[in-house]
Amino acid sequence: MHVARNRKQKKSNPPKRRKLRPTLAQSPQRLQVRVNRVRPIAWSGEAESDVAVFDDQVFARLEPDTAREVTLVREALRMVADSFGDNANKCLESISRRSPLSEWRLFVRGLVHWYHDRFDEAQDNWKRLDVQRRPSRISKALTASRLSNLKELTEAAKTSTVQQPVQQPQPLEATDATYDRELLAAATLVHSVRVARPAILEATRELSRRERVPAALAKIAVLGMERLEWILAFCSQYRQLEPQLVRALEEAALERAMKQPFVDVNQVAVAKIAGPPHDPDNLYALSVYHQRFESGMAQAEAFKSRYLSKSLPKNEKISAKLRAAIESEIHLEDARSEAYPDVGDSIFARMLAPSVDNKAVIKSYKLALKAYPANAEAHCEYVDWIREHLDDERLRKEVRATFELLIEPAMVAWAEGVPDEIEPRLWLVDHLLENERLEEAKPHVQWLAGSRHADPRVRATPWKWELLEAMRLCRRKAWFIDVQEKLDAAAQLWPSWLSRDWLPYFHAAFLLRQNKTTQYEQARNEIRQSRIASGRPVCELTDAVMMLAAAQHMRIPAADLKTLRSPVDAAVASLKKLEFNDLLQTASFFLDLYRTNLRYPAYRMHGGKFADELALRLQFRVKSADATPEQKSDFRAAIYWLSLRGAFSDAYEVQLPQSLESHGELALVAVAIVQCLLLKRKFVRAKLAKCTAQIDLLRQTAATETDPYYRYWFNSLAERATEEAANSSFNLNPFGSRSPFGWLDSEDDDEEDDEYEDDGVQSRDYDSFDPNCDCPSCTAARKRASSTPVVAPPPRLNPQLDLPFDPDIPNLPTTRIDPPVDPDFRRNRPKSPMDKNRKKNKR
Amino acid sequence: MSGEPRVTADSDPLQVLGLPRHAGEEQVRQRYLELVREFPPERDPVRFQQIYTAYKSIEDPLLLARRLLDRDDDPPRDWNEILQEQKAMPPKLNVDVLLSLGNKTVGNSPLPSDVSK
Repeated sequence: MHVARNRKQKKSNPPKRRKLRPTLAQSPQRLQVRVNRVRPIAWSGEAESDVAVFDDQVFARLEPDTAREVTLVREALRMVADSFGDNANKCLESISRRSPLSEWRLFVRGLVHWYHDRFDEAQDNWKRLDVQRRPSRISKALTASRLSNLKELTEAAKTSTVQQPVQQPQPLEATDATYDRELLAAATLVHSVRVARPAILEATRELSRRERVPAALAKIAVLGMERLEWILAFCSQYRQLEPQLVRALEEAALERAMKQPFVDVNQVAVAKIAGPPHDPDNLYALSVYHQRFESGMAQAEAFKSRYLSKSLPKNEKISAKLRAAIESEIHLEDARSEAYPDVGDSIFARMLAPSVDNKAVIKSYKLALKAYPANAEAHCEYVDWIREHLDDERLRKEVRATFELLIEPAMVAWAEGVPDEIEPRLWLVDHLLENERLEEAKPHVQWLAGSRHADPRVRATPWKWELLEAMRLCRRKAWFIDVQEKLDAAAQLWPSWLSRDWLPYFHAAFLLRQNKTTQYEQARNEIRQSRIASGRPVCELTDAVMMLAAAQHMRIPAADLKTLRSPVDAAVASLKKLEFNDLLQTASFFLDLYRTNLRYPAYRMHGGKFADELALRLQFRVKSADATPEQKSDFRAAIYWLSLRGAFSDAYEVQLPQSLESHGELALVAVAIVQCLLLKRKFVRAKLAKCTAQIDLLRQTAATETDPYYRYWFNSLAERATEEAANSSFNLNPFGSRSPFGWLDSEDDDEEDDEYEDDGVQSRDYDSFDPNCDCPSCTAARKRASSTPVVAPPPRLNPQLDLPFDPDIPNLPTTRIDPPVDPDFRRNRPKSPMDKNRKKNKR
Repeated sequence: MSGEPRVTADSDPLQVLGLPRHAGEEQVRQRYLELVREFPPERDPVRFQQIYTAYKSIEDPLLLARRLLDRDDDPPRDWNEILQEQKAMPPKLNVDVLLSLGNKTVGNSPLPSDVSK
């Protein structure tokens, strides 16, 4: 019907197009054509050196010196166009003032300022240019492009061409500069390219339009195929005119293509748009993209493997160092995901999780370190992972032996890869001296002694060296002669932050080692007397533990050790009978052993038992108000020791003794919480994100602390805790703790359920109506329903149910997508009717 | 001002330097030199310190690699925001166009405006 009527009608003339007023803004296509066609053309009599800048034939005729300078000018102009202005100026520094090309040096300097909107500085350079030369004319055109009356001047110039010959430019305005017709045309071109920018106007117009995607998918379909195709067409058309805009749109399109679940859109974007310099083929991005899908892991691995083996090694766009760093970081990420697989938060999920493939973890860590040996984070995490296993008391003997074999090479690699790191060197000094590898230990000792590291343990290295040497020399009778000297040297270098109470025990132990039993007994008595003289009560337990520790370090034979062990064993046997203050004093000594890393072999047998007893007693009592300063100090040290042992936490959370929480010394509590959490696994450490008050308190305490060891320790604890908190991506419940039972006691879930139920009841009561009923309530409900816009329900998982779409968008597919979506499913979905529309439009 | 860092967030060094997320090494260095020239320490010590700290934090290849591989889970940037940003950064003229601005009609040489016809 419609077609027939049209045939009968007389063909009318097309409506006359309204003549548009000429404006400076042109259509982007026209401007692009114009920009593509303009070429520098020499005028007769133009200086040969100027012409040579753009004319290769003239360039070939130049003297070698001039040709070299012209090459520099060409290079500088290219650099300015590529945004490397500073390099351009440097490039032209070698052109002398007397050279005919010095004009170009001045021009480029001004041009760099002009591009940075520093117009006064640009004019300062350009006003000195010779008006008969090309640089001066270019600078005038650039200056004129910013004139507010450029349009009027251009119009006037066109009128003047009717009356005046073009070859004789007329002054158009009473200004210093004279703008002839060509200059104004050039200025208009600059204005169009840099100010009017029709391409950006077109992009704004198109991109502000709503994308044609179903309303239900609007949140996940952040880039539709239609828009992607428009962007690709736009970019290919205006790449030369607006390179930055084009790149920005391409980057944004690629980013969106990677954040939406439609594989076809992703494939087109990846194929048509080059990735960033480190990943030009988008292989790594594709690997990350496919990891989102349940069945995409194999593809993700394949893309990552291709990236690491083919794309990255051949990528010359980035430096070799950056290539190595990228490779290292990718392997490190692999190691993390293999060592600590994300199996969910609930205790059941963790129990049912597959066991970790230790070989794969070791391989990934080693690859990360091989690619970039200076990767401190990789070293640290690798060593921590090994130590975690070594600390596990349930580890089988043969497995433990394997991990023990790993730690030394890991520490050596760490010390070599990151020479400024003290942690591996401190460990190596102890380990190598323990194994009598003096020559290997020496360089580390010298480095530590020479460094001015803030860590008090580093400054104490010479002391420790002397002490460890004294211990080592006790192994053989022939070496005894030097032991006293070493002990004296250690006494002189004794650190200020360490109690000197232990020192006489080493002398006594040495006497015992030499079988000088009388002198040994005398030395023990002297120790007791001096203790009494200092006003402190003699604690039998601490005395026995100190003597045992010194004796074991000084290589007392096992037969002689028995007598020294018996009082300690007796104390362990009757823990409940021990005095609280005795336990505190012993704990204070144990803290010193931790700080100096000089724990003796027997410590493993009884240290934990004393710690458990002390932690138990702390549930009921704390230091009394009338405690002496020494007792207060012991109490503090005991809490620190227990914290270092992680005695205040279970597998999931910190559980401070009630008495400690209520006794008022907040700094002590802060140290205990932060230290215990830092000892835990990653998902428990995430709770540090809720400990900002404790971390701040640690910093404040460190600022007022007089003991250098504690000062450094508190600061480093705060620093590590801040890092952990920043790295944590876990969402904790409002009480700052994670439930071991995952979803079972989640209060948020309950609330959500309640809301949902309420909504359901409300909607049924309020909005349901009979369409045929005329009662007032049904009529009102019908009216409300008709005035309320149709809102699409959220996407559902059941593929049998079609989603209602936005009624404003016709002819759209009934695709059901819910993230994460399996890419295989997307590939096999029915073809979109939108494709047909696109094909029709193309025709 | 196109030369100033366009985002005020101090936390991200690339944003402080006014660079896109995947900026390469040379781009970072050039941008740093440009900004130092624009905000020398004697004129604007605070901004200089900000720029210097930002540059130092991504100068290390390892830190740069971490940034490049960082998984961005934020929602995509709004088109309008990108276009507004681009409006503040007019394109540079390519070398041929720049040199052609100095053309002068003497003899048979065409006018730049005539070329478009």
